[in-house]
Amino acid sequence: MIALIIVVVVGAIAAFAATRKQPLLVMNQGSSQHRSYLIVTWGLFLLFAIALPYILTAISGEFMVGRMNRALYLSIAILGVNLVVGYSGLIALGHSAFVGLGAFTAASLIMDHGFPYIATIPAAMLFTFVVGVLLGIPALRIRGLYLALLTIAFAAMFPTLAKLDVAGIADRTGGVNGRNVDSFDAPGWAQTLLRIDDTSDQQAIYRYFVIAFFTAIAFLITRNLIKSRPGRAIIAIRDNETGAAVSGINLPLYKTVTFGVSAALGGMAGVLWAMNSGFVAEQDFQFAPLAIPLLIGLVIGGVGTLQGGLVGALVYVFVNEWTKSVDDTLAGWGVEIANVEKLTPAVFGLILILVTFFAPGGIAGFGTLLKSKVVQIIPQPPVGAVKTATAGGVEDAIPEPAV
Amino acid sequence: MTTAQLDSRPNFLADNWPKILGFGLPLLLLIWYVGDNVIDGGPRLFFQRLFDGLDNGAVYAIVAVALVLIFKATTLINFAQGELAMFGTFLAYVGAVTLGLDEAINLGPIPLGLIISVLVAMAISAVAGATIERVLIRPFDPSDHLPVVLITLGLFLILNSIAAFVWNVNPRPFPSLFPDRTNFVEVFGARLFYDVIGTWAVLAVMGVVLYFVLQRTKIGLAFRAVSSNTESSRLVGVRVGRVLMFGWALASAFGTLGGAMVAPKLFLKPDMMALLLIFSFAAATVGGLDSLQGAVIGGISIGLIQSLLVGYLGDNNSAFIILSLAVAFMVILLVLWFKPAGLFGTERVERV
Repeated sequence: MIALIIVVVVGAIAAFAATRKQPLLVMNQGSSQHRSYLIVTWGLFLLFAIALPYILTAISGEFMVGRMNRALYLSIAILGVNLVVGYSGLIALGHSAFVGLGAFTAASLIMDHGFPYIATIPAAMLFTFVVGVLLGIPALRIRGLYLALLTIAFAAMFPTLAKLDVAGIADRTGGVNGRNVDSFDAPGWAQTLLRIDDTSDQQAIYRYFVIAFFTAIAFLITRNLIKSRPGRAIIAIRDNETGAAVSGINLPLYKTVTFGVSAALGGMAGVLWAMNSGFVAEQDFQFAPLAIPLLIGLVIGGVGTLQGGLVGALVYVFVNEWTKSVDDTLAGWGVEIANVEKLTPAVFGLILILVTFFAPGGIAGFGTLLKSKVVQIIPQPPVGAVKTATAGGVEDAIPEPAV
Repeated sequence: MTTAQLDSRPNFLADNWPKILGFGLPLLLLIWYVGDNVIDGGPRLFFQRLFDGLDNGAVYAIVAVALVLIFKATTLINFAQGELAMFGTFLAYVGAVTLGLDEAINLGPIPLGLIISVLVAMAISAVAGATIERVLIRPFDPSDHLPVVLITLGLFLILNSIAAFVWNVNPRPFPSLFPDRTNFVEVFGARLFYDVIGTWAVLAVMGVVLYFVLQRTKIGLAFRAVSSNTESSRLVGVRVGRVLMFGWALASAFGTLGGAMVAPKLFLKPDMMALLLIFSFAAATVGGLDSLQGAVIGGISIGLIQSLLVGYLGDNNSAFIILSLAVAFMVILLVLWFKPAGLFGTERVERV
């Protein structure tokens, strides 16, 4: 029902936008109009983000808030994959191992060493960064798919490594049975502020805000990284490796550090995973059930776009949720197929192939297209350019703005 | 680039015997010495592990050859190779067991019905592989890796989950291709089973077939031309698309053969090939990703390293599994670190 409403609304907006030749709003970057536009859109987004857990609770209970939390931390891991695959053009397939590494690091630090939850985030990120760099050093000196091979072997090995009863590994990770982690509970003031009680269902709302906060931080870090000098360097590597090398970019250094940062984002997602579920087990961090979905989320959302990770994670988590009850839905239509839920990966595989074929930009690509029909922001001319660009005669002075 | 395309020359062994002997013999001698004198004694155990390693290694080699066939022509790695092989083996299973051909047709001790089923499954896989290349792979620019990686991962998911849906995830016994499976000959007290000998024979036959197809047929010549330089061969009139379809068909057929060889040992189930594919990746990396002989030698080395190292070092069961998985990972790591082109691969030269 809700999905139907969303489809109708999006379709109506798309139909409306397609009929218009000129965007609704045209504004100069940096003008007061642009500033109020930014304040209004981000303000609305923030309001929506704050209201979301309460809306979800009202619609289908606190359980959905937990799913939402899952989508948020998976979006951080997808952001990590995106940094490597989307922005630097390398193929890395094994981020399930980094998420697992982060989750196990958090579990061990909290349970064995009494760390507070928040302090495990930098620790786990540092650890996964180091592991990522160590993996990246040999693989990233060479072009081609070597990083893909190495990361796939690492991800295949990781779950077995995690339950290995040597050097205390199994004690730290909980081995085959997994390990419970102390639940992450709201302090009294937060309970009053968020109007929630002690029950673990209601605590999901508190965890939502904490996880959303760290998701925002992860996106901010990545955005700033991409817009900075190193970010431009890694995009240059993606677009033309030889050209980038000739322009003085140290390829192995940039590639390795980028891979390390992306691994660290995976580790951060792992800590938030432990925080949300209160339980970590090696079965959750296997290659096919986790690493491929991260790629699927990335591709559905949009490779090489920041918002793509979030959109892709949401689509993945909620479609997955829907397919769990698909046999009930089918039974409602009078169709009974045994084990039909086993076809879920096939559905995602099909989506992966179809999106790669017909919509390489993912959902974010459509979003950008739609936005360009509604609002056009004319970028400021670069500093030092001849100042002929005004809102009226701008087309003559600078090329068509890329939105 | 003068050493390019070693395997287009017939005198591969003559060119590379120092490498093969130089790496292989000291390794074997060292392991024998260590195994004999330090950890546990007896040539019997050593030979047993040697045979086990060669047995696994032959299967890794077959799947690695399938990977290399695709990599050579397109510089792409087919991540769905293992699932294609698994699916092909299920097709052979349908023919041999579900339709009962294995029971029905027997030529003395030779399971003719099973052999026919496997051959038919290989033919179907070949057609499927060619179709996949034509429909899903060819529309994309091969120098852009991401779309093709995504397509093969999508295929991986689709094949795996359809197999789980149709045949469920429980392991099924798969009949052996070779007669008298439980029988063996004794070599230094170690048991050399008939099906191990059969696996080697199949690998040898596959090598000979591949050699003749690539060296003595027109399509083989075209395949070598395309893997040497795609653009130039297109300019001289080679129909590159058809050659790539041929490569995919050959690779899929060999993959299914490898699946049918390994299914009696591992039991047939949808994720049968998952780990095997990782070892085949390692084997292909050792060989240099674009050398067919390298893939065979890589596969056998990985099998030997796995069985000997793990046999002598792994004392408990959990350490055994992780060590054997770590072999694949460590081998890829070491090759990338010290010799990225692999033992027999072409050194890559960057042109602007």
